[in-house]
Amino acid sequence: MEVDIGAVPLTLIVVSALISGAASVAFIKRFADLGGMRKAVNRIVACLLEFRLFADEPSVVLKAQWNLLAANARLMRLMALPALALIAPYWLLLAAADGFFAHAPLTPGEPSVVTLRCRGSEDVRTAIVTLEAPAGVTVDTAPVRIPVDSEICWRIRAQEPVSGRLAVHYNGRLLTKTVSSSRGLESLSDLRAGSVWLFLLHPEELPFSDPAIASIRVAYPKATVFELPWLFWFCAASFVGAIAGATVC
Amino acid sequence: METSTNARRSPQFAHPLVAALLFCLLAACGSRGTARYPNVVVLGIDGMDPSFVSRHWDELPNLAALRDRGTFQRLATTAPPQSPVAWATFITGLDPSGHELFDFVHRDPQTLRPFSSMSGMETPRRTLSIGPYLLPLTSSRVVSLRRGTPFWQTLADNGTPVEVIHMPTEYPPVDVGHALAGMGTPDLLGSLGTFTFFTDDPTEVSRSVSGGRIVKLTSERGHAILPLVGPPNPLRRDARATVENLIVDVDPEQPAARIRAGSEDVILRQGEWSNWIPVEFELLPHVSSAHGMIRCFARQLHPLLELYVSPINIDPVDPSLPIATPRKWSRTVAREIGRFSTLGIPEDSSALRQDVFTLPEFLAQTKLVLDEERNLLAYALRHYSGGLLFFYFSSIDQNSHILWGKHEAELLQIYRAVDASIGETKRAVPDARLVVLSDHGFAAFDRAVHLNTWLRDRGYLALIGQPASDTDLGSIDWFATKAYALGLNALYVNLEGREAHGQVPPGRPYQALLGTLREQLLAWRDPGNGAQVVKAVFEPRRTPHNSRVAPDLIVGYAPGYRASWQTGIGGTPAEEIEDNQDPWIGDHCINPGDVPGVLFTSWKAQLQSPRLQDVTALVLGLYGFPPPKPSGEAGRRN
Repeated sequence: MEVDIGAVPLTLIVVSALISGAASVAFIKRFADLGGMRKAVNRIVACLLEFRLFADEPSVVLKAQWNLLAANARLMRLMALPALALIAPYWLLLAAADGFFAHAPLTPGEPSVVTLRCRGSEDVRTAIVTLEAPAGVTVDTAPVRIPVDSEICWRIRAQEPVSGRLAVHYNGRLLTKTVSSSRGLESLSDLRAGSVWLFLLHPEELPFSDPAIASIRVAYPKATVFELPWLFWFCAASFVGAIAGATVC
Repeated sequence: METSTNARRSPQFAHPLVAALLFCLLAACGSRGTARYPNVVVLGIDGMDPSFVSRHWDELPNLAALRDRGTFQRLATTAPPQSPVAWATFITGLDPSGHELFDFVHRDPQTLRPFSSMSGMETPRRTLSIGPYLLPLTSSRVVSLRRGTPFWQTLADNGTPVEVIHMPTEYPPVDVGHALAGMGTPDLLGSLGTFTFFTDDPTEVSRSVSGGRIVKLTSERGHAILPLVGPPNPLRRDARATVENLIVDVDPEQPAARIRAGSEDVILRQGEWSNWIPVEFELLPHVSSAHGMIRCFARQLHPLLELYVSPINIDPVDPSLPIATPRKWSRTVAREIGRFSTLGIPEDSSALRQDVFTLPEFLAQTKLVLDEERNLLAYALRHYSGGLLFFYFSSIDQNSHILWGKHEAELLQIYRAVDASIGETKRAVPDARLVVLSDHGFAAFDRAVHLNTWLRDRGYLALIGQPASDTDLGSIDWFATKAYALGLNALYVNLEGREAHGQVPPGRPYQALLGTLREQLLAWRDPGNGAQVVKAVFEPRRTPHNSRVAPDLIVGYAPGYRASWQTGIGGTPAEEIEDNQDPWIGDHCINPGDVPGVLFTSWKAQLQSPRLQDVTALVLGLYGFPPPKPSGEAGRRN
């Protein structure tokens, strides 16, 4: 079940979103070609007016359509540079926030599932695999092997608030994955990736390198902040921050 | 140090006498504040039997303590002694003629179709048709069919905090205080509980059974896709049933499986129950869904795959139907204690009756329900801040139906668990007045009575075809029928002017027929053993309001007898009476005098031969209100 993580996370989200919204606007004002962007927007408006004024002259309308496309392309090109420059800091910010606010720690006493996803060529039926949990977490079941998905699953259960590492022994190799049922606010990684691409989507925990394993996932409860996903609050607050930043700068 | 500084700054506090006086004044104000409304906790325990309790006082210490310090009495139940009828009487203080619930099932005299007596659904009056979709422009709503004013509404209207949890017939809950709906709350399909049993047993075939569905599946190397049928889509013109696939993967060697429902994964070993798993049925893609939850039981994983899926309960976290007051209160509760059953009768006796459960499996399921009930009560007590708290236990009733008379030790365990909850309640709110009551007791159900067959054999009822176990009201030749039975105690006359094909004129012929039927019913003897079959016959008080739904006679069977399941749906099998071969071996839908309930109070309450409505008056009296007026026809319509 979703867990509502409440007021402290909301404060952190709102503060960071306000700052990032205002900083983004300041960055764009500083580094973007605002004059060129304004020109492109004016050109777009002019093209739209041409459609209305010369509706019965097809050659003018056709030319206006071409000009509209060109103006849009120019506007996008002018916006692309600052947007690209902001991708990296936003990726880091959102990934960090996702780690803190997207999931809640395991609830003591409640079961959860650990899933080891193997690469397609692996035969999970014959693999020699075990899972060891840190003190305070029990492994309830033997591995359940799912050849159709190349996955192996276990049911685990936190008995008390604890943070530690799960150890997966797969055909003699050791892989680990963080697990937490602690009460405080901490960054949680639901998936530890075995490839760079997957790591870009789940950057909360450093990737591992193993020829057979694609990922290890712990099913944490989803978290909400006052009944809504944290991203909603972040977007709303960064929008406010951007408007404030535009007004002040 | 700080205190002394303050004391210096406020010399009036320095004098101990002044401080003591002020303390007394504040305490007096405080006590007046709490005395504005008395603290009363009512525990409604469906089916608690006074004889059973009396046989086991030593095992039920908290009930025994209540008896010793307060009162213990047999509590007269209603005619008929059915739970919805009896609890509606407690709720409103009215007899069945006043609250207009006479049986689990009523019939529309014009269409002769049965319907639930407790609630109905009003569909939207205006809709917009777009392609295959039918979008409502006005809202649909669930309506309670019970009449009369619930006693806690009177209390809440006068400022008393009220919390009513799982009160039977309380669906949708009244819009006062805090409440969770009780008996009568449907599953997401709109039924009173439809389980699904998936199996790859080669001897099985997919079919509907009473209270559920058996679904034959094919699994390939331990991988199976299980189509769980959800509610009919109200947003489609064809009202096509929605479906959510459960994906099951069984380990090639170990008796363990992963079940995937939506984005939720669950791992079960053979013989294990899952927690509640949320499931979502898409009504309008990416726009609207119905939210439910299921519990799975891995009955067998090797060599066969047998998976029981509970009725799809309304999800308290995101309820698609009105199960709580305020509407989101069920979410607040679930956030603290986890998801809990919302189905009106959560114990799945249908699965036992259809051989999907063994008795130990049924007992395990009912224990899960009882544990949830106890958690919910603990939640209510933790948050109790005065006023009225009502809490309902269903476990004793549902277990008594299966265990009565043959499994005393197992039933006693349920009684002991409930007794422990009573003790916890006393300890949690020692200053509150505690009332423990049940709606009826129990008796054995040895012989099943086919009342329509009896009517047919005496010329009161005619069939279009031959008598058979799969007949229902649709098999009756209405133009040659004078009386018919539907439900567990009701008998109706095919009355001219009321019924679609009425054959009996009102007035003297009607009265004469009632007299003859009553006489013959009381004279009826079981051909198998010569015992009296019907001990009493009641004629409900007829009012202009209840005349369409009220039965003409209520049949009070002798202990050991009860209307058959076929009679419940208007069926006419070949025999008049037969042995009850069903696992459902205890019942209470008989002569009310033989199945009284219990009444315990934590103080010496002065009640002579109390009835259910007297308990309503007793509770209202604690708050200084008069008992409800017997003519309750001007009641509410939700």
